[in-house]
Amino acid sequence: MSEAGRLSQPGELDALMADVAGGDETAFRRLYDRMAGKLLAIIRRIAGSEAAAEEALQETFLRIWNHADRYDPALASASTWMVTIARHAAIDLIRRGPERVSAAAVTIDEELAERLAGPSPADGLEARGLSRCLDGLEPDRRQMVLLAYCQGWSREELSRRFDRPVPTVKTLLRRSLIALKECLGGR
Amino acid sequence: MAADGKVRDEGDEGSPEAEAAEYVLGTLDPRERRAAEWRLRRDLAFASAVARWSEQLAVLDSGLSPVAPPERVWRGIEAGLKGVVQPAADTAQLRRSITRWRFATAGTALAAVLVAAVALPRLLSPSPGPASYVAILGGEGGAPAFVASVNTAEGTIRLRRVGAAPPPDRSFELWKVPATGPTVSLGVADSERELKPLDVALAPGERLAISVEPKGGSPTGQATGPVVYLGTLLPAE
Repeated sequence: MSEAGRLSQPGELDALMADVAGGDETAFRRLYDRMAGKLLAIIRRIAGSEAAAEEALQETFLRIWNHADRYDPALASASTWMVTIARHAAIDLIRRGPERVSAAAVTIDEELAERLAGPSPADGLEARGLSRCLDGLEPDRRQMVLLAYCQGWSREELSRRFDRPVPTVKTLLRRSLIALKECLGGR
Repeated sequence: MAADGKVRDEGDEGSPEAEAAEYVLGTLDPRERRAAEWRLRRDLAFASAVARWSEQLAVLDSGLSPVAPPERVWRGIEAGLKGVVQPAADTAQLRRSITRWRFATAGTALAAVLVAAVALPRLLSPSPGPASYVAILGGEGGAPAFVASVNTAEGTIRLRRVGAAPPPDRSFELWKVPATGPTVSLGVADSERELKPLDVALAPGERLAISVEPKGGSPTGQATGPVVYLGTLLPAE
């Protein structure tokens, strides 16, 4: 996996994506070698088990293969596009299964909070910006956004954890996201 | 969309911007999610909003170290590419039901199509625009239970129920049954009229099926209950 360790070069990923959209299986394998490790790390935070994570990763790459022609480099980087697919594949998988135990989330929660409390110098301006804006949210709302994004919590799971009705969770999530956007200087 | 390219109602929780954000966050319910994915492929401003949110929130993944997957994952993907994915038991069951129904309904199929040809304009109104394909989904008795019309230009499937409603504690679910490969859910069909975004390709000759599922739809992504209605897509013109 030496390729996976390299910093991703957007132009090269785009070229691979174009080949994959054309049905090139060799390019697809190279794309897998490049991205599978990163995507698996993201999926594992959401999926409840290694087996589920592997299944979601498999589904992710089948979706990438089937929908490569939908990727538009003008809109997002190939890496971001694949992350969105991976997160949804993982979320689809866990929503089909039994409800997860909330306790498991708490530890990762704290780890996340700690990380966000002090972004390392290695994190770019963007990370520090998002971290500052997340800090501006009320603690409950920040937790909701983080649990949803990082661990794939549904509105229903958040509703139980925070003891708020589902429609309220939806409203709070949307308000928080809009506040984040304004804080980040979104137009 | 306003003329300056901004998404309107910025502060509104019901705005496209908020929908795009929640899509990326992953908290939309299944119906909203399907609608968002449909919109994603047709509305550039919405697709741009989704891309922006993806880039912004991806910062939360930046601290993760890659985890090398075991080689069996790639083998599974390769098998999937070649279309030799193990069909779920439910799919096999669905196929068996379909074979049985094909025989059971062969004699009534023509009658159903004739009925539909007469009844379609009335059943489908006030549907705007031409449908590219139609299918009459009938049950064992041969009477039409659903009329499906696919509009490939709009990317929609319109479903009109002309038979009985599902039992109160159950849902009807619509499936695409390809010649090979697993069935694909096209969503729950409990209302008398449904207009659904269509995010899979459909072609004449392919079958649509309705199965009876737990309320809200199959929990597994494959049909779990009996197939009660079945029909073949035909060109509308």
